[in-house]
Amino acid sequence: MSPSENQIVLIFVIGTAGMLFMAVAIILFVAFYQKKMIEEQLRRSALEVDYQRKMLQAALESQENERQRVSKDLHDDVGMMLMTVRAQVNSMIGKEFSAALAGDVRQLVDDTHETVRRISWDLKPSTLERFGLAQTVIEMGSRLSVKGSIPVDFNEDGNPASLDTHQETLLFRIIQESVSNAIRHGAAQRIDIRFLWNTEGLTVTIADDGIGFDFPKEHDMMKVQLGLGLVNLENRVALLGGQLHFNKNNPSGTMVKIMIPLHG
Amino acid sequence: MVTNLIHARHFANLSSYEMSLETAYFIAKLSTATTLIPFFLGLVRFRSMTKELKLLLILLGVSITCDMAALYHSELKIGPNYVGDAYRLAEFILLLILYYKAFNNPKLFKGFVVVAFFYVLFLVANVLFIQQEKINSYTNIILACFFIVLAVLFFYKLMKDLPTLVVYQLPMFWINVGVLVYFAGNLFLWIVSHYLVTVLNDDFKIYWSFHNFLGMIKNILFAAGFYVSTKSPMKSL
Repeated sequence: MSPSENQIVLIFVIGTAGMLFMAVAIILFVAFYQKKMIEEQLRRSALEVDYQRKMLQAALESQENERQRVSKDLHDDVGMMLMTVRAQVNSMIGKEFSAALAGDVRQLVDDTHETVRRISWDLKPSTLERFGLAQTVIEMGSRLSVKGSIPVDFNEDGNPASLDTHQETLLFRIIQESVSNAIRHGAAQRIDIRFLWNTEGLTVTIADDGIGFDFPKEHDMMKVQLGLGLVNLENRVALLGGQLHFNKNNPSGTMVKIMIPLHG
Repeated sequence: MVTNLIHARHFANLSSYEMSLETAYFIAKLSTATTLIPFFLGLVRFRSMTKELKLLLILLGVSITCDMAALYHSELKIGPNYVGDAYRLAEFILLLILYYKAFNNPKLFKGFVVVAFFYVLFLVANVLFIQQEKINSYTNIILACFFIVLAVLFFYKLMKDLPTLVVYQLPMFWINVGVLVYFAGNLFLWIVSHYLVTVLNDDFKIYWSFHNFLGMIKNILFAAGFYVSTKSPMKSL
């Protein structure tokens, strides 16, 4: 065999071995990697299903909590006040008319009326339909300031666009929940709410000066820490097609940023 | 696989060793015999088969027929390997349709038609003007390159679409493995075969036995494709 023949045979052997090696490598890669990719996809699907389940659970729990709160308010506040009124009226029976006693009864009736209004407002703020979101947030801030002595500042920049009732209600609930979280979990002493309107949409920031919390890198861990409240918030923001971000506020506390796109 | 017998006989005739002739014949016949495995398996499961597998069954039928014709052709010593060329043409067209259906993408139609047109044109030109009476390896080289690319692209599609958890359950996976191994393994043999035929007459049958060996592997892989076809959850693949 001449050297050139040797070379040809060598080319054949090396070339064939190389091609077969490449073919086998591709096949093995596909066989193993495809399985891994599908497993990853299944894992993601399972997480998604789990998240959907949590969202549903959160919605139901939220509904149940709301019912319990209303029930408690009616029983503890309205019920007790009405019982007091009843006792006052009973004590008046068979006695001479007393202007002072009548005044007490009227005061109790006024308080009861005010409590009923508050419960009603918490359930569905009448201001929202009549005066819009910004006014409702201001009113919520005033109520908090009076009730708990927590100053709530509200600022609005840009040209406000019109939102439909459904959007306004969802957004108000998001703000309400965030403010509630800041007071209950963050021990906030002051809350700033800011609306920034631009051509792309509305950015709402709710910043507090509370203790804040350690922000885990993993979103799933944040869910564990914040529980169903976060799921509720995410659920509502998702319904608005927006984005929700949590950041540390400077110098302390938490800043919740919600970006809602404006359609049409 | 189809030209196993004709090539074995052709090159064995060039050999002065009776033992080598027998060995070459045995491997060639064994390779042809293995074609019957997927063919009969396909016939048994014909009703439940996908269009792709039916196309493959037709290809195997053509292969067996051409092998028989190759025997007759070789006995008569007609000269140019027309049976082999006819088989390569049928193989190209049928595999092309098979892959077109497997890719399930109408956008590929025009491209495949253009490739088929130029391949047929080159095959005819090669038989009539370029290699003529010799083994038509140039056509085979183009065939191999084209189907190696298609096989790799199909694997890419498989990884992108992720149609099933267990890829071994897809008949087209095994068919694709068979096509890739066969053409990748034979590419360099076909590249050097023109030289080997003209220079290494006596020794070429050894190299060609390698082609027959790969043909056997391909047939077994095709058989695996037919075997899993009734179990496959994804009939479209």
